[in-house]
Amino acid sequence: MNCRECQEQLNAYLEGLLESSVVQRIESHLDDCSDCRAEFEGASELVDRLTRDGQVSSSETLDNPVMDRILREQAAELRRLKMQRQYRWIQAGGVVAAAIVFVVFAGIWQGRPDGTLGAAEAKLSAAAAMAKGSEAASDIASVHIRAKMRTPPRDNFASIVGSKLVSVEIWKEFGGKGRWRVEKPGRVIVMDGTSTTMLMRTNTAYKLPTPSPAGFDTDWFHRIASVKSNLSDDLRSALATDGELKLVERKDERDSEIVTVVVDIRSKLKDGDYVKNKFIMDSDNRRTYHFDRKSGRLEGLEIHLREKEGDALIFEITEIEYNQPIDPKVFTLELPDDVVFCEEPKVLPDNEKYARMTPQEAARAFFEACAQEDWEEFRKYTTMSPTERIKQYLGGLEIVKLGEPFQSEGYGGWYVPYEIKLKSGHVHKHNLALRKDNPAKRFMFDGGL
Amino acid sequence: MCQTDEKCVRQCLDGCPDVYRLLVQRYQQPLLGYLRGWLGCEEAALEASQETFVRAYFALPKLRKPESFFSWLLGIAHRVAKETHRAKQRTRSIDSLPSEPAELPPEDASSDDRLTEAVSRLPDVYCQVVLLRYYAGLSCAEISRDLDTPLGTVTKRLSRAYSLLRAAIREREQSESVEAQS
Repeated sequence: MNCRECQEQLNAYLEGLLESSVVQRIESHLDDCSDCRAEFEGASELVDRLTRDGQVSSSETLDNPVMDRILREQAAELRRLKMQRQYRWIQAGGVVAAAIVFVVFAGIWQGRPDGTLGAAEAKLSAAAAMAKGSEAASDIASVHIRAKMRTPPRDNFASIVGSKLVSVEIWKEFGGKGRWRVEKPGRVIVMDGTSTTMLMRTNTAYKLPTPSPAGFDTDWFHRIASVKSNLSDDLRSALATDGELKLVERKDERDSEIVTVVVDIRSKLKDGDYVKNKFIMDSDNRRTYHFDRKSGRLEGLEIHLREKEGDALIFEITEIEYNQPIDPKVFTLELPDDVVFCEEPKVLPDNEKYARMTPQEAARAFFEACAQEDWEEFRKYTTMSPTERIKQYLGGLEIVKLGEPFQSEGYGGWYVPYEIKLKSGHVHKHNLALRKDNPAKRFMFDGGL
Repeated sequence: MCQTDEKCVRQCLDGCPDVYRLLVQRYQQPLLGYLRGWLGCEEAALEASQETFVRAYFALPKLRKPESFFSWLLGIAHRVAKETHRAKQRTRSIDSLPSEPAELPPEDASSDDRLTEAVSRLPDVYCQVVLLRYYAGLSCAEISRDLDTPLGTVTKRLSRAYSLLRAAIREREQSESVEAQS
């Protein structure tokens, strides 16, 4: 190895990304070459400084001020263009003004002949309640939510396939290290301020070396828990799509204390898209928010999936606590002694062969590895370890049919329809999800078994 | 489900402006690091970051390669930083009295100003990987995926960035020591 090669690979060496044979060659060159050794020491010191400097993060988050400013500038532009002399009273700042501006410009400000404002007024009141709820959440330092969700316990945190409601829970800190924990039966994820780890029942784990602000399909949980931005986002979305947004009159004894608003949220996916209504963030749903009348603070939420067969409850907050001290143990994940960590796919010596595969070829090769019980080959298509349960389930299967691969607007990979006959004799039909946006650039199993 | 920059940009342009929030959250820290390097002050960097994100939002229809959102954003940030500098200079020439001390960036014990400044002055391709690696906290594999660049290229760019950064810091230290002596 010469000096140029050594210095080019110094970072990969520092990051531990090189194969052992290259590591040996670099180390032997560093032993012999004082210039490269000095370069290496200097680079290590610099990496420490960069790591420290990179962790000096501002406690201020920019998303709310940026989104509010965008909205205000859009409204100002519209005002200049269309409404030069009218509605001068829309001068207040913040989300409330933004909501009013949108209601006005969405074209629903139509008075009735008798002088009342009817639906528009009701919509405006609902928008104001949402905006007040958003403002009331400005001082939240932490939140703890207990909820019920329609989700398969062993699947990811966003799937709403099935019919069973299970308990889910999120703890989230705002500011500081921004630690969080999300849990459901069978899965738990903890971000402890330095890294993010998911434990899947019973001993499979994934670890990200960085403090991820969300991850492992929990983005939408974080969205709900970030009450301020969630309410203003839902409000904008309802107004932009002209979906349902109304105050609900309650006649029970809590009527005087609680304000209830129903918001219609439409999926960004087209009807007929495979993913639509399978994941909560890709679903058409109706959200019923309950606010404390006096403080404006969010007290409850139900989300109903809108399906042809009728609306079905998929999420319900049963308890929400703000600014309560969180036991540090919550942000510590106890791992079992026999934990197996899944790793990102590495580039294989014969990676090119796999990288050239079409989704259907990759699906066939994956199932063939299972059929032949070649677990070494199986691992080239998945980060899962071939546990006894997996071997028992997939070993010796028979491929009955593979269909034409297809894609969804809501998913970055491919789906391959398949029909397999398991050793037990059971015939299983589903779609295998495969994606190749990984460092090895080859199709890897991502779900659908 | 991880939304790529390209997808976020397309959704914003397709009438889902709220998706822009994801891009702000994703690039807030590296952008702040970059602007702190140019402006030397946290408060000014926060203000310039906000301005950069807002300008970028309204310029999204002009973005030809949505997959290169971050490097495009850095270009806008660079222009905002230059304008902020010019505005500061104008304010000084009008407002400052001869007896006043020159305005210095506030002391920030926790940030490594010399290093941050050197990072922000790196050529684009190197600046981008350093910001994503250390200020956005991405792994080399994640940078490779996000920039759609081979992993080997990412690690080589980082190695080259280290050499450039060390040279820049050395040069700065030497010139400061000459100034101190004179």
